[in-house]
Amino acid sequence: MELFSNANDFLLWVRGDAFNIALSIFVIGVIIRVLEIVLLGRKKEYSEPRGSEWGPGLKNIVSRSVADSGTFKRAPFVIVVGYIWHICFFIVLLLFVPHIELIHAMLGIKWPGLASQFIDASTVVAIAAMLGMLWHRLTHPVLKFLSTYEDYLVWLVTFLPLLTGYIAFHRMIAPYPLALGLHILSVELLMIVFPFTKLMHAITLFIARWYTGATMGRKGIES
Amino acid sequence: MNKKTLFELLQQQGITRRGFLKYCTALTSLMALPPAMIPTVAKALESARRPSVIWLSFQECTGCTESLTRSHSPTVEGLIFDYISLDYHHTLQAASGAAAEHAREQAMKDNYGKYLVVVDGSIPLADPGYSTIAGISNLDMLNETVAGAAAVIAVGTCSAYGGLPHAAPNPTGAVSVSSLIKDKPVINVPGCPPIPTVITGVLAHYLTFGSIPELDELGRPKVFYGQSIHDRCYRRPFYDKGLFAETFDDEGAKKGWCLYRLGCKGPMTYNACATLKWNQQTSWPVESGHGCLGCSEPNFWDAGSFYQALSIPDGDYARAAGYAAAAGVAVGAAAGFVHQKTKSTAVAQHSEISVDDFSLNKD
Amino acid sequence: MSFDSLAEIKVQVETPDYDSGNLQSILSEIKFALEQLLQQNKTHCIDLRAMPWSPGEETRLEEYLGRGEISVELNALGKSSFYETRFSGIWIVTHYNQQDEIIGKLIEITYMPDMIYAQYEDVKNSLERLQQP
Ligand code: SF4
Ligand code: SF4
Repeated sequence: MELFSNANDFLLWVRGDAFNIALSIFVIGVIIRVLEIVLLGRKKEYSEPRGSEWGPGLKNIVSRSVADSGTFKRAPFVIVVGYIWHICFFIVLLLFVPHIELIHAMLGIKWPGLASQFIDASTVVAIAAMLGMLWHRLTHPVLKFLSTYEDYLVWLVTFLPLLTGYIAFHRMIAPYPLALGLHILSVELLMIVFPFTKLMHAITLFIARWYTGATMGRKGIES
Repeated sequence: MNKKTLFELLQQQGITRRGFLKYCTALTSLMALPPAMIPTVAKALESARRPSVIWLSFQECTGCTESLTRSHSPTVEGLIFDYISLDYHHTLQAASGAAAEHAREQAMKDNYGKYLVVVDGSIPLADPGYSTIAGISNLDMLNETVAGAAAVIAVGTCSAYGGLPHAAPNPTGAVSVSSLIKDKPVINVPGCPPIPTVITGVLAHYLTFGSIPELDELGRPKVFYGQSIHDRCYRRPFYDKGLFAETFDDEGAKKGWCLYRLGCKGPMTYNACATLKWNQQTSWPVESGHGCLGCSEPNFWDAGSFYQALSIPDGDYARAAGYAAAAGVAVGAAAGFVHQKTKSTAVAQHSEISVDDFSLNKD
Repeated sequence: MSFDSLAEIKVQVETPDYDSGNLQSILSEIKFALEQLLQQNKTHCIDLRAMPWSPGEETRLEEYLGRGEISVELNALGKSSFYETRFSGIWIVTHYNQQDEIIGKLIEITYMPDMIYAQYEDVKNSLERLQQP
């Protein structure tokens, strides 16, 4: 038996049940992972604090976004391309009007979007950056040695939404409901994989940086 | 089938060659063929014969027939109808009851294997009693009538894809014609209702060429349904520039910006509204400021609100997220508790060791 | 008040300045067709009903093309009007039905639209009629 009698049924399922399932897994997963970390707590610090925790903690979240020169010298490609990728990715994710509509519907907040040629260009750059990253991972002996299947899985589930989004926007697969359905499905895949892989860094980075900054702040170290 | 060709019929009415060419020009345009095809159409029409048409109306609202008959008769559309022989249409014909059914049977007998069946409305399978004509269930009438047909034209989204009766929870078990008829060509002409010129255009194609037009994967003629509303929408440049109306009466709406945010389903809808337009080409939904509803697509009734952007999921995601959050907190707290326990057990079992503990000859 | 056709209801449409790109593309198609007519004696025809016009765009095209030296009216199955625009070789052809509703509208790029010539079948018919006693 055919699973879907036509592309519209597929799109309907992807926008309905499948989205609910993916969203539920995403929410459950993220909350579990964050609670696990937070509830574990830290060992009580008995020493006299030499500085505050909050200020340095928050500052560290921002300041660690700039790579120190040592790290940069060791891996300039990863840092430059990584930066380009993240910027382009967020432009596409947050400034494409259909995406803003989705965020508005779910969270009730909205902001102006960009014209589609900018979104289009950013998507192309982001796709190129990801291909470059993959190539780098496969050709760099140390990186290749250290890579596990999870690294490739994470690459794939991040790459697919960009690729399918590009295809859907340019209507390269007909009919359009199929193209759009594939795009949404790929995002759902990303949402499902997110909490259980290193993609969680998008959230844990804030916790980790805050802890580091706060600990140093308390000890009176400039971070 | 009438013995006379269409050209002869026109000649009989004193219509000149020029008149005939004009008719061909209008017909070519109606069939959405390029003007270069006019001579081909003229040639085909010279030998075309009047096909017999049997029109069956099942679970429908008569909107499709309305659309057709309100399309300014007697124009080209009218001319088409003058030159097909509509032998049975229980809404339009004068006869009723046994006489009407007799007309249908007669037409079937006379033109066996050659007549066209047009269907509007879906077919209920849950209980045949939901819709009957002269005591005959829709399913029986369809099977019986289609048996000797050359092809079936499913007019309107109900007969093409189940339409409104098919919408969840589908109480009558409504299905489309194509899900029942597998051994005859079925041409889907969806729309709620379909553009009248598209209905006549498809009939004209059969009348002219005696064949069915090329169809897409949903059984729709590609000449009319080959491109999406969005592909041909004159508001598309605004979509590309990121200029959207956000309410139906804001500045953007007045300037004619794109209606995506107001729920326009044009990007996923394949239909000819943007070019053929409605009401004698006066305007069409997007031109009059309302987004496309996607009426020519399967299950458009179940595809969420007409006023919600296409990119927004249409399930009850807020509730799903709520339950998920509650479950996440519960499981997360439990996990946290277990980890705490592991940690405190580890702390409790922690004992100091000294170098002596590592001595090689411990025993 | 009752109306027999939509055309009787006079509606004034306000036309914002949409730029849907239709005008540029149709004008370049016309230019190309004129070149072809001059060089290869090839005629061309554009169905104006198949264009996704924005409001007012079709009128703008007609205004731009303007009216030239010659116009012809045909009476067969309703009226038809043929006129040359201010660009010689570019004709606008409009077919109406008996109710004066437009059933076809074309731009023809040709020295003379074919339908204006007397048609062979009709000429033959005339002769037959004249030969009848
Ligand atoms: S109004 Fe609808 S069909 Fe037109 S460009 Fe916007 S989204 Fe596409
Ligand atoms: S604009 Fe869309 S909803 Fe409206 S008639 Fe056309 S296809 Fe149907």
